[in-house]
Amino acid sequence: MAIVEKCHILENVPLQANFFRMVIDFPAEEQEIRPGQFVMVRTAADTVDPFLNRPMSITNFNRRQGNITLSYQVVGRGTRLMSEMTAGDKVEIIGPLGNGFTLYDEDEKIILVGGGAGIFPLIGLAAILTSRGKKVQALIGARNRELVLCEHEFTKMGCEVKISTDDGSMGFHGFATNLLEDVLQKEGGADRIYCCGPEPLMAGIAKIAEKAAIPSQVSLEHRMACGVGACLGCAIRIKTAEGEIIQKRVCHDGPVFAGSEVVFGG
Amino acid sequence: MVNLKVNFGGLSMKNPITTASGTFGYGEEYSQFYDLSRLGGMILKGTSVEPRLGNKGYRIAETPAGMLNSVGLQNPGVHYAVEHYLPWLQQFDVAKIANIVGYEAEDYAQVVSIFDASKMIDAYEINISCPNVKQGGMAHGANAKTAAHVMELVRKETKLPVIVKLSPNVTDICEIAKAVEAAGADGLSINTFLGMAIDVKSRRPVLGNITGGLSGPAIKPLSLRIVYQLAHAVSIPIMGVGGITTATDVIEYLLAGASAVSMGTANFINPFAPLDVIDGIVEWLEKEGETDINAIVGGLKC
Ligand SMILES: Cc1cc2nc3c(=O)[nH]c(=O)nc-3n(C[C@H](O)[C@H](O)[C@H](O)COP(=O)(O)OP(=O)(O)OC[C@H]3O[C@@H](n4cnc5c(N)ncnc54)[C@H](O)[C@@H]3O)c2cc1C
Ligand SMILES: Cc1cc2nc3c(=O)[nH]c(=O)nc-3n(C[C@H](O)[C@H](O)[C@H](O)COP(=O)(O)O)c2cc1C
Repeated sequence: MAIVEKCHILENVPLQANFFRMVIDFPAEEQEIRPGQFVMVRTAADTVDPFLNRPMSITNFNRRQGNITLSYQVVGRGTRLMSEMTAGDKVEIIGPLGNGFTLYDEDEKIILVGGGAGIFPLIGLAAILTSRGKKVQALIGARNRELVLCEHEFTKMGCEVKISTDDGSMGFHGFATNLLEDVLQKEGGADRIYCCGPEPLMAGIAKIAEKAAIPSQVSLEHRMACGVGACLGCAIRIKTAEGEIIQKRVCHDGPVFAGSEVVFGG
Repeated sequence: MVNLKVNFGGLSMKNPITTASGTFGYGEEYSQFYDLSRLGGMILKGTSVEPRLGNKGYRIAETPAGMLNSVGLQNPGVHYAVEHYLPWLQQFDVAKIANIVGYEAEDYAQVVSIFDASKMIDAYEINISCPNVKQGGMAHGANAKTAAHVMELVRKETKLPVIVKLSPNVTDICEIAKAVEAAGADGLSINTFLGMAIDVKSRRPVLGNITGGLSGPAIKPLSLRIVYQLAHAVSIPIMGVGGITTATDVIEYLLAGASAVSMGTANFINPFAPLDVIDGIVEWLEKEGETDINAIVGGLKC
């Protein structure tokens, strides 16, 4: 159940490059939050700039302390204004929204693939998976070594981290899709693959997973206005098990979908 | 105690605040936040005879103090709506206004007759002004004759109040308003303004549909002016719609001649916006020493 809440920023700090992390005093103790869910963030309380709320996935949440963490990349005006806020400033939050990742008790070995800012929702997921004793491999893709994110956070949780960079400046030389193929070939399969990142990455990972007969889940992004399923701004096409093409809303029916059901580029 | 009750062309509502079509689905999404019975009315998602997928590509573009949408009337079709959404909606004591779309004039009449047979709808809003579909939509609202033709066909199908949602993207909206009034419309409302956004980096339109409907505070002065003009041209009531986010916005529309209002985009910014506005109106009326909201309508001093 989502709530609409005026919150305070507890912390807003740079991570590296143009990435930031914001901790907000959201009443997480009363909410049922799942990794992969997101919130709509409003920085402008009484103004119309920026006009729409910004969707941000919940990187992590602390039920005991009653807070959520958002991690974000500055890409435009909205995220720049976010980065200029400081502890004590107010933000309006609608959330938690969407379905989040679906976890399976019987899974033993799990591969996470994150590209760019897509790595963030996988942090909260990794925290739960490792706490349940699962074997987790985190594949982190980036353009170059300066943009490799959250490596140590995954290591600290007990994940085995593998890195790919497009320019080969760190780890595997190539895309995260190439790295996944390499890992599957050398180390055999996995019980499940979770992926978030740019659309071409998710499309590629979903295809590789399907070929290897490994179920996958992808967390999609789309332009959205309401975040709750009302405006139909974020419709995507889905192929049902019967082969029928239907529409779903990224915000309300997702943002996490089975990799095999998404019609990428549709 | 102030009276907020209004009668809009035969449709009785406990207050003049409705939620705008296409911004509130069939009510389900926002019912998680508050009791929908607090609203005066709900205008449901534009509904056609057959289901529609809507437009491809980006459907949303943020603009200064507003947004463009080119959803393209995605909806599950009237039969699905009647079967799956309307029975659930009956638990709420709120005026349920179906928004009707079609390709051909006959389609509008058909959708209305199906809704009418369900007896779960209180009034209609005929959308002859959607800017996001190639066929139908705005084409019907572009001239007085075709607009009146749609209204005549719909009139034969229902005794319930019918609001015609006019397109502001025309040369003379008052001429079309008079024509639909003569054809039996019980009220009028106004749709979005056709607009566009371009991404200079890719040199492409932001919206998959190239153009879209502009909504939000950016259009309030434009819609307000239209309400003022319509109020002088027709004698049926007018639903003020366009950029309402505060109680003051509503009061402005009422002074200009609207008898009720719709709030759309404001829901996206703050799901509680309609309730905040209702509270704000009561506060304003009390401060002004007014006891009845209806006394404000058309009270503009010029
Ligand atoms: C479910 C979901 C979860 C997300 N989680 C994160 C996250 O954890 N960290 C992170 O850095 N980013 C995340 N994003 C992307 C983030 O929402 C955009 O980067 C942000 O909205 C850009 O706003 P802006 O004003 O800086 O950019 P501008 O380009 O100026 O924004 C213009 C408009 O486009 C929209 N927009 C632009 N890029 C995106 C995008 N990629 N996805 C959706 N809308 C976009 C904006 O919301 C705004 O309405 C997520 C998106 C979605 C849909
Ligand atoms: C996402 C979106 C979808 C809409 N869909 C419809 C629709 O199906 N039928 C209709 O008559 N108007 C539709 N509209 C127009 C609104 O009902 C309303 O006229 C418009 O948004 C202006 O009001 P506002 O500024 O308060 O949003 C839509 C508007 C938006 C933003």
